Amino acid sequence: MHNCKATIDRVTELLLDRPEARPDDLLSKELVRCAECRNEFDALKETLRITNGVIEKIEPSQSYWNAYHARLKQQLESTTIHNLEPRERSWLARFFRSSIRVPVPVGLALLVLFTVAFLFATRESQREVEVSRTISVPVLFEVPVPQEKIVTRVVYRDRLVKRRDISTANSVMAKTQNEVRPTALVGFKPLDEVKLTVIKGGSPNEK
Amino acid sequence: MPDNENANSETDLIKRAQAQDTDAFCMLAERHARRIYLLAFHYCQNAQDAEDLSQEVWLKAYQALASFRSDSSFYTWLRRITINSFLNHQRTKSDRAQEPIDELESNSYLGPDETVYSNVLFRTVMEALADLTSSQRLMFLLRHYEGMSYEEIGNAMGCSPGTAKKSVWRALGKLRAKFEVGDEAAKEKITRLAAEY
Repeated sequence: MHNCKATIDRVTELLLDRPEARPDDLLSKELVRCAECRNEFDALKETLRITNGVIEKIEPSQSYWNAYHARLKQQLESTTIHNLEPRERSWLARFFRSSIRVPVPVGLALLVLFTVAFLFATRESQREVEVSRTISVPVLFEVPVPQEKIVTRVVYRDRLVKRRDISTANSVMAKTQNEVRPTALVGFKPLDEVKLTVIKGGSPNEK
Repeated sequence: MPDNENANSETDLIKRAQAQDTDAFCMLAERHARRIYLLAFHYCQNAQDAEDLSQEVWLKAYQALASFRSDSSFYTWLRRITINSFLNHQRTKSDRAQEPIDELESNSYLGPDETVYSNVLFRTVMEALADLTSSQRLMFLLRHYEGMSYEEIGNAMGCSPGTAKKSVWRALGKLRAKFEVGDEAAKEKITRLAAEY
């Protein structure tokens, strides 16, 4: 069964290889059978023969080639001199000028890896800052400060009053002191221990 | 005589060139210069660019010669450098205006015995090649002129063999259209032109 597409495909590749090529027996039979394929074969053959002929016909003169090779040799010699110079450079200059070839997938993978590592490191540092902020929040609490106040009170005692009366008088006095609290003692909280200094004497009636 | 042949064998020239012998390298260049120049000329469509580009190829080859390990032929290795140079040239000078074909003096490229008809044909083919994109032109030249397979072209140009084949076929289609090989009158013209060769 003749297949025009397959035939033209074979014909084209045959002529691309060699424009003057002759089709083999099988291909010749196909071309004889189909006029369309035969026309295609002829057209392609002529197109490629003309094109190939012109491509091959380019022939610069011998003087052109002499000048061409002289220029090339001059450039090669200057390149050789230029190539020798960098060898005298210091190792530091060579270090900074050196490069390595890295395949694109490897380069991309490294780039992604560095980006992820950078983001991760940044996030971790932010978390640490948050923790330290929580710790540094000041908490206010009361610290008991010992207060001391010296109260001096003059007490006159009647020596003639009997002991029983003295205790009665003391209780009355205590009541009076509780009821009438001096303004100087407002806000004053006494300590657990009270220092009491009793000064005897000093009265003119004392004998 | 055999000693002289041995001294000038490609392997020996390569070894000497690897030892910074510029004369040996120039002898190597003389052997392959025309082929590289023709590729560059048809790729650039410009004589001055072709010379610059082909000289650049030789300089790069000389600098990289130490890395040549004889795994492939010297020309195959050189062609690889040529294609890379062409692709770099394409990237850097993509916006550079090409010299119009009319201003090309075909007599300076063709031999002195060529007829006026050949000059007309030369211009026609050059115009047809100029209508292709630089990639199509390069792939067409590599397939047709260099006889490379689509796999080799794909490897060299960083594309699949299928893409390379498609580009070559498109280039061929454009060339056919330019030569107007479809209609009968044009077919006669082409046959007449072909007969000239």
